[in-house]
Amino acid sequence: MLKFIGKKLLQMIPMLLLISFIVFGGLQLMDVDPISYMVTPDMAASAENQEALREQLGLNDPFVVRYFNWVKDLLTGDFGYSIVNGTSIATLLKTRLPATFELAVIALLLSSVIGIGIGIISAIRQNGIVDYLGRIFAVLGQSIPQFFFGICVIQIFAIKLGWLPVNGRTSPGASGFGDAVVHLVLPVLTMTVAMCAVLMRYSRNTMLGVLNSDYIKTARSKGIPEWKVYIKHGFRNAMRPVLVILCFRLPMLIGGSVVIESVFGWPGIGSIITQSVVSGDYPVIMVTTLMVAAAILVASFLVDVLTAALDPRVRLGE
Amino acid sequence: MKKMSKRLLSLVLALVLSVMCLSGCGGKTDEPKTDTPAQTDTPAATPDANTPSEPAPDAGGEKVLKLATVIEGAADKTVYPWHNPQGPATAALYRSLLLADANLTDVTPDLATDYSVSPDGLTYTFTIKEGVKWSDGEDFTAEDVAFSIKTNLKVASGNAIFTNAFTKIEGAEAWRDGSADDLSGLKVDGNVVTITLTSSYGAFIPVIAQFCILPEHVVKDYDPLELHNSDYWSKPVTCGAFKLGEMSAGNYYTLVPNEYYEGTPWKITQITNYFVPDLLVAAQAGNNDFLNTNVPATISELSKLDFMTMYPIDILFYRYFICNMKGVDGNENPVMQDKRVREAILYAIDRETITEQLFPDLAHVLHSGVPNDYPEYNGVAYEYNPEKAKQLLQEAGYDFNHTFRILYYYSDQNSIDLMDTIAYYLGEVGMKVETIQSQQGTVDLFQTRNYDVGYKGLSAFSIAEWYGEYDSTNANFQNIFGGDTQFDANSAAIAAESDPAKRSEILKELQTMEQENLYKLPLYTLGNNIFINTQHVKVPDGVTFGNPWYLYDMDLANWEIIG
Amino acid sequence: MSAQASTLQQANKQQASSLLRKNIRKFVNNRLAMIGLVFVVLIVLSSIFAPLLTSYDPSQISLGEKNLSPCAAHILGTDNLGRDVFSRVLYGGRISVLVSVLGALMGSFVGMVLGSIAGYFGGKVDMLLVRLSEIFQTFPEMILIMILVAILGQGVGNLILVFSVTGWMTTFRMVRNEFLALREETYVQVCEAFGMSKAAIMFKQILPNVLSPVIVSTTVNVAGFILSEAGLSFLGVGVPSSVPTWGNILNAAKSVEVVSNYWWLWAVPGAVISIFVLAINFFGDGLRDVLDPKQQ
Repeated sequence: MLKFIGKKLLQMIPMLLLISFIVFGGLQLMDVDPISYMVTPDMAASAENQEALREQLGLNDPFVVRYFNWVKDLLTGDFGYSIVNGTSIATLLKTRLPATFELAVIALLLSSVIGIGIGIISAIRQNGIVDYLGRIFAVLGQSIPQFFFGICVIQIFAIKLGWLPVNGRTSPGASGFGDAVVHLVLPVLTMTVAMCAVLMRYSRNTMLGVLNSDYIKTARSKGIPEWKVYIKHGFRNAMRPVLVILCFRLPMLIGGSVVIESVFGWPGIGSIITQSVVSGDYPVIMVTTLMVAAAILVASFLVDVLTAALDPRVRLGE
Repeated sequence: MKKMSKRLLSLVLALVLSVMCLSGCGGKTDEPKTDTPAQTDTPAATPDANTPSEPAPDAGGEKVLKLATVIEGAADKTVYPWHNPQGPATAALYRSLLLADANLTDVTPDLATDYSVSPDGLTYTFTIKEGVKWSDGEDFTAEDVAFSIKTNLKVASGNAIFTNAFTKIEGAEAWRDGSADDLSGLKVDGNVVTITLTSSYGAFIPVIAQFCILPEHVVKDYDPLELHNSDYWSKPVTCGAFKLGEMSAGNYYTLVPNEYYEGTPWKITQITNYFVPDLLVAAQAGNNDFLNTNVPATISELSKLDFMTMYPIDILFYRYFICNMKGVDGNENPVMQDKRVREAILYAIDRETITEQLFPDLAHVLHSGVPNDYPEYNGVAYEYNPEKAKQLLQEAGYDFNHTFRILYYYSDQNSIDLMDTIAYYLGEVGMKVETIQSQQGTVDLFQTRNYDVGYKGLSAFSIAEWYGEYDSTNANFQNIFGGDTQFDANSAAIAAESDPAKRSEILKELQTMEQENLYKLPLYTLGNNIFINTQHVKVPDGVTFGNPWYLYDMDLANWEIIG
Repeated sequence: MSAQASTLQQANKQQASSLLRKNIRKFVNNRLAMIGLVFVVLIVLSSIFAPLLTSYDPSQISLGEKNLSPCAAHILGTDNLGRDVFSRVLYGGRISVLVSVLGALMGSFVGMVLGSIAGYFGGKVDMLLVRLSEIFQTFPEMILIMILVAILGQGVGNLILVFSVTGWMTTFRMVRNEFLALREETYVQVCEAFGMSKAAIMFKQILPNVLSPVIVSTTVNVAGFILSEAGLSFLGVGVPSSVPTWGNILNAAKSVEVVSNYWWLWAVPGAVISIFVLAINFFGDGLRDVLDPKQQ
């Protein structure tokens, strides 16, 4: 087992290097100059000074030179600086990651509980009221553009009703749990609604599949009580694909949701990624995409492990 | 397997617990919050107990002025005063040698007790105020002034009004390109700073009044090229009435009184600046006491808020097309060469209706760099006349199959709407039009140059700035106007001249010259509106508001927080 | 030999046609799926035949008639430039549906071809293609889309390309796994023994068996791309804002002023997007029920 894990983790390194090279190469094609993005036409003080800055930041070096400089810095633990913003990327991550993490963990937990819960109930009581409402909720949650849902809840709950803050993560002078929670409600709600829908559909479908399967029928015919059938046989087997979906959501803990963070001005990684892509801020894009890529690799690795743990027929390392 | 299910069980338990926590704490939001401005959004809204949930408003009896800025990047910096030195936050933190009034030209002493100009307009002498300290307790000195000017010449990003003025100082070029160790035209003797210019510059004093002085002992450790982005702005040392209190990156920062401030302390005791995605929403939530806007949709929404009071301002904010003519490299754009084509564009667009409908009460149609209500305006007008436009295009042999490219770098909805409208009008006279939104205006407008006309804005400090763009040596515009030298003498003259009668003469000449060439197609000037939450802030009597992008005396020390 | 094969094929065909009839009946009986299908067809047809349904040009500006609420002349009102909302939504549907359907189809096509190759040949080819798909999957979808848009530039054609580049991996995986299982089946070996060409076996014999999950995943992608298009418009990296698409129309209505005063400007494109996505999802669900052999 340990050997398998070690091997998998080692395999990630060349993969990440390859990805980093591809992204770096791709960014060269982007043709967005961070300096001129940063210095708007209204504030272009002196062309010579901008040229000097470009030279100083090494933006005029050939692609390969820049790539190796970047890798070298990264290996020595130097994440570099945002070109457009000047902020150290390490600082950026330090302040932004917790925010993204907080939002994503809560949304993940909530959507799992609600989504899987409703999904399973609606499978057990197929065509019942929960099933019906749940499915409507699921399709609705899946069919409204996220940003629009976000704007609407801000208008309703923050502006019209004034119950919740409009944006941000904390307020000055206030601290502690209550303050954090009121800021979380709307973004979490928006994120949960969209994620719930997928999980619900998925867990309902797999649970239905499981309930129709032969071994459940056998279990029933043996006279095992219905609830035990659900818990012992149904639930456990239905969990597997659902857990797989959940694992694939894990990278969100690091990458954040690009759209939701922009709508709610949530100071997380997602909004930084958007800005850096638009402005061609390649050091930031590189570090953030690599982190997310690594997270996805870890997640898919977790999927392998989980599948093996839940299904004795699958062995690791094959 | 058993272990696994146990683990699953505990996972489920944890989930349930966290949900319960969350729902339990959600109730706390209903806690009564006092001190917040009553939410009087629309009549339908319930303005009773449901005030915006601003946590801890005016905490600890502080008199808090609330401001908001749009999130940019990491949102971990205070204002950079060498861009546009604007708004109460800049005025609270930084000071200039002189303080302008609302028209930006008349000045009173601030960090300088006194100044004089030599009769030839080339030598300026400033006497520095003594006893001023920085917020870290260090003395403010004349060296700080010299350092700030010298550093400004080396920054990569800064307002062109400073660059244009300081480049006139003797030895500025040599200092900037590193061939001289010092700026020869700038001398410090005790508490006297003497500046010598190579040629006279009419707006030098008003520019000095906008130029915030930075502390040499701190800023000297930063690279000027990257100064605008440096972490100095996350922990600035200031000499204004306030200094940085707390910086919560991505959320807000607070300003607290600077104990070393030698003037009368302000009645406001704290300034909180929120980083927000939308200034209007922040204002609606009562988190933005002072903002300015020229977006009609925002204005109409803000006007609905009872607690916001509007102060309209007339400023020289030009919106215009620049024609992609020819680079200094001689690379020509054949489409725009015929003047009749450029003229036709002005005739084809119903600017009168556009300004009325898209910018009601805000925009005024322009026919040159001289606004229509100036005495110098010569009366030439390009009234909407699609027939004439068609005729001009035909006479010029314009190729109607050519896709006419309009480049713009504003990303707000209003600009998109405007571009759609203009594309429509040009389509009506038979032109095929494509509008392109650029993410990097400077490069696309002046280097890539893959366009026919570009939509640009200029918040002009003075009218000379508009005509300075025609100068053959203008670093940017020489790339599209081909280094045409015919404007040079007059544009230099208007910049140097401070005598009103002579300025007026030069202006008239420039205006005619401009209309003969039409390298720039003036569209309109855009006014601005300042909104203040007057239920939360009391502005003292007699305050006049001016250009919101610059510093002027707003008597901020006497602003009071009420309600 | 060949006679045997042809009878085998005929039998197959007969079986297939009766199965098809059964499936169609099953689908028609699935009410939600039928409703979905009807709405999808309705929306697509009205976009295609937009000029018959409205006389307004979607970019016809009439500043004197801006922000009109729905009335006889403009059944869904006008926007802030006086453009007819109904016409904009119809014409916008052309682009939005085109982008998402073509993007999904092309993505599925790429996934199918690569999946067939990987699954049928296995070995090194398989490993290489699986690695490729893994690399693509390690990018968060939205970020990959944004970077590609930044590289290619904004435009309708480019967005279709971006969607097909980012949407092939699921199909690829599915097809590959099915192929890995099916290539061991007897009938494949029989075909091989008959000397059929590899391409014919892959695409004529095996592929039809894996089509149903592919069709379902394509519908899911269509729905997803419709929403992505809207999200990209919000972030300002979608189809250029001068082109009316559902995403751009909705995005133009995101300002507070519009949301609180001019409901038709956001409700109409919002509803159309939601209805279309809903309909596609219902349709896809119905297809899944019909086509999934496990639920026969």
